[in-house]
Amino acid sequence: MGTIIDEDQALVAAAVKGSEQAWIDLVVRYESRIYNQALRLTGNSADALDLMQEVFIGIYKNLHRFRGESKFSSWVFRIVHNKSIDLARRWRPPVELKSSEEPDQLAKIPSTASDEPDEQIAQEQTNAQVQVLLGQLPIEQRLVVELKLFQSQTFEEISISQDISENTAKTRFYSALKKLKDLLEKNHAMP
Amino acid sequence: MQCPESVRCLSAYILDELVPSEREAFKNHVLGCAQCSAELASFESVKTALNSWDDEALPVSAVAHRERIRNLAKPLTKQEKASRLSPFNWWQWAPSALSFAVLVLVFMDASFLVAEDGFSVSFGGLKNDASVVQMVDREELQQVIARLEQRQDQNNIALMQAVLNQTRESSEANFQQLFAFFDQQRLNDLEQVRASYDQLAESDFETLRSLQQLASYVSFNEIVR
Ligand SMILES: [Zn+2]
Repeated sequence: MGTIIDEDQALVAAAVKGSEQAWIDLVVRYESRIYNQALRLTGNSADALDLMQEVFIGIYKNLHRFRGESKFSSWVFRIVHNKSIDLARRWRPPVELKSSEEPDQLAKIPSTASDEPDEQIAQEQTNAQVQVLLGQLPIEQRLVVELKLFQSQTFEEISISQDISENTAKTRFYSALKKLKDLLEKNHAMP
Repeated sequence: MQCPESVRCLSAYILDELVPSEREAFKNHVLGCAQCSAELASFESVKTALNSWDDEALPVSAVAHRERIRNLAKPLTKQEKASRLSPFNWWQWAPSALSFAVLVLVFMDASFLVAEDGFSVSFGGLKNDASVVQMVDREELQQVIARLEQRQDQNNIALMQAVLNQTRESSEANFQQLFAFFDQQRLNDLEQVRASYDQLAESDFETLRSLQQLASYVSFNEIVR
């Protein structure tokens, strides 16, 4: 853990001094993580790639301002956060969820996955289901869920990085889970 | 009807806010309460569904994005540098930037500083770093521009008054001193602004554009005329 942070800092320092290789190393380290965060936040790979690129441009421009007071990954997520707010307006969920017209849309996804032997397709379908769920949430709640569930941050950490009170962070997280729970119940209850 | 225990404890349990004894008590309650156990299972299934996320590799279509990202750190060739700079030739806007520097130095009690982070302006005293406005951020620059725009009229009046007062009340010697001061500041600022410009040109074009805009808003020559 400590070494990863130290390595990040060393890479940042070298990249700031102009080392192209250090920058590429940082990109390799964070590219997949940022892309997957972006996928969950935007709901589709085209926007996720754009968001990822925006984030890296933001990181590169601000690299000299990273002082190592926080973890590089948390610092990176603040940039992801800022950029994703802009992109949130362009949210296009991969599958529309209209519980009245297509009641079994959500329930169907895992079972169709089992018909398909290809691992990658199964993975993409599982992820698509997660994206459908996250797509039901307003961006503020989606961000808190991202931080809490996918990045295992504490509510205290979330409150700092999102610049909200700890109570607001908790309320957003609970409201998000509650909304998704009700949706899942509604979907599964229908014949 | 909702189970009262659920109303009281469920959200706190999910948010992990219960102290260990309360937590144990609620867990025991759930074991014997069909409603609470169903409710809790529903919440768990949401978490399970979300946690089923499996990190995806970047798609093949990411080639262009990847390349652009990696190229961010590629050193610019001389030619690229020149072509990047061409629309913002420093010497074209040097006079307004300089006069802006002089103007704020003398009449707004402000100064330019070249800091580690780039370029900054401080208001309210030449060496007063308490009110330093960092100008690295484009947004901050825009704010300064807006503020200066607002104060433009006021500054015109203040400047005219200052000049009037100088000619009416000051001796020739004072006036000479003032111009000497102007000139010295002009030379200092020339160096400082130029250094900052070079620094900015390396890194951030938007900031540069804003800086140019900033300088042109507060043209000393215009005000004197
Ligand atoms: Zn109960």
